[in-house]
Amino acid sequence: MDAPNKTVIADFLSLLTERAADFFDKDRIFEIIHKEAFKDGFFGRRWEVRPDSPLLSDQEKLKELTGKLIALMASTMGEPTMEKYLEEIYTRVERRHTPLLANQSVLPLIPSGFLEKYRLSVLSKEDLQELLVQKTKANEELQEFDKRKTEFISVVAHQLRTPLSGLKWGFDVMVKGGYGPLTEEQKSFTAKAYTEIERMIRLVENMLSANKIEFNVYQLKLAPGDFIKTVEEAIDMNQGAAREKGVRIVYDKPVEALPSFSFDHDRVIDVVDNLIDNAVRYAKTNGEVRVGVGFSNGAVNCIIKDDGIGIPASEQKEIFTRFYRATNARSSDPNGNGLGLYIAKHLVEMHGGTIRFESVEGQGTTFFITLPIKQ
Amino acid sequence: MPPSSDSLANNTPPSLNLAGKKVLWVEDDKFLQNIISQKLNLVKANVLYAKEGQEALDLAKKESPDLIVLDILLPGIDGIEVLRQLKDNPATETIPVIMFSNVDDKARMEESQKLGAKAFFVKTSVNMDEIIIELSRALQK
Repeated sequence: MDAPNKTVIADFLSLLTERAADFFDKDRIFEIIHKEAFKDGFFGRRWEVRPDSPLLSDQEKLKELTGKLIALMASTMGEPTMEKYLEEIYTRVERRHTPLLANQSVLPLIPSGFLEKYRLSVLSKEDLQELLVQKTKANEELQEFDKRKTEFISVVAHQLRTPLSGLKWGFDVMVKGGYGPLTEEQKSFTAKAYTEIERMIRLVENMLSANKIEFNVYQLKLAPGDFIKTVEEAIDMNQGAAREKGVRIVYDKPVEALPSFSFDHDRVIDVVDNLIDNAVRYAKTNGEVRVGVGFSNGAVNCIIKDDGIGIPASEQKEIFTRFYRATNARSSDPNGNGLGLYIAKHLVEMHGGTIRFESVEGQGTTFFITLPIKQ
Repeated sequence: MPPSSDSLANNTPPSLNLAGKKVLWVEDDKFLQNIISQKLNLVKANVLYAKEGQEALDLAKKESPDLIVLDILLPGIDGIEVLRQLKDNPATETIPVIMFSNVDDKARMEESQKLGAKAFFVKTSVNMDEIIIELSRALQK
């Protein structure tokens, strides 16, 4: 090792042990780096490694001892703080001895995981190429994994659809007397079974939708439609559940007709249905859900307001995240897959619209959707 | 929403009636076949079944159905290929075809449309009454 490098290393080690001395007594430090490596006496700097110390000629030993000292310090102060101290020391060495010398002399001694951001700049062309190849391979493996995960979800969902269609159609025919008259009790049971099957179908469809959204393959089927009628359909879909809970759905129908515009009717119904379903689900028993529709500034808007459990303030920023359910929602109703709002947000945004909410825990939530009218 | 026991088959409006129409249903799942049979018998449609692609093509040529309902995932040749061959054959090219499947990827839906299918439905998205309505619509077009 040539003279300038030893000077650089000596300087680095001095600064490092000086910092270590803030946490450990000298005997502890000497257990790692023998006292003979340091200059005698305590004049000048307290901790000064001798540039002529034999230790500086043994790269392997040097690396080992530096690693031990850093590990000891990190175990006391934590790795983030250790990283900060190392960076301070390193930049001082860079300023004193040039970045190139600091890179060549000091970085090889530092354990991996520390000062990583400085390492790339000193990689040789071959090393950089090797790193690039490794990262490209890792990226390809991740993409392959993602592709297989998507295919898996698609296959599972499609395979689930087949028995579900059979059950749905079978109960449909049964409840309508297609297999002979049913007693009242049988009708009630069959109707309930049908509802549960529809719930499972919605879960499967949500999983497929979330999958398509994640991989950007969702396509809207736009066609001119009546937005008011679409919202009214969604309200009708939730009247049964609302009645069971004693919740009143109050509908503020707009006074004037809205302009016709193109939107994906089935997807918009999904969005509004999901929001009304949530509102009913989390509304107070015998409470109220209010649905309003309007038009302003070139956009139709829909407001869904409930008087229910609300969303805790600390969790509001997560509410549109895939699979996320607020803690109070989970304890209020364990059933729920956490996909509804994630899908709703994407479907609204795919229309060029916006979705937002205001909520106070214990008082209720109001969702606001806008969809721009594009002729 | 659960189906109403009042909406029985005989409430189907006359304009959507399938009585006497010959429907070729291509479906390899026996359970679904039974249920379809139950419903279509109630509306007095004349139902033929095929459980795989080649059987469907042979029956279509022989029986000249008024309508074909075609699943995609079938043993042997798949529903898309069956559709292609139906439309390539002068004897069967004018028979309206509805695709009815649980596989709804964009590519297959677009391919079905390109080949001339009248409609594409996901099985889980429709109940039996809706199926009857869609079959009737396809016959009216």
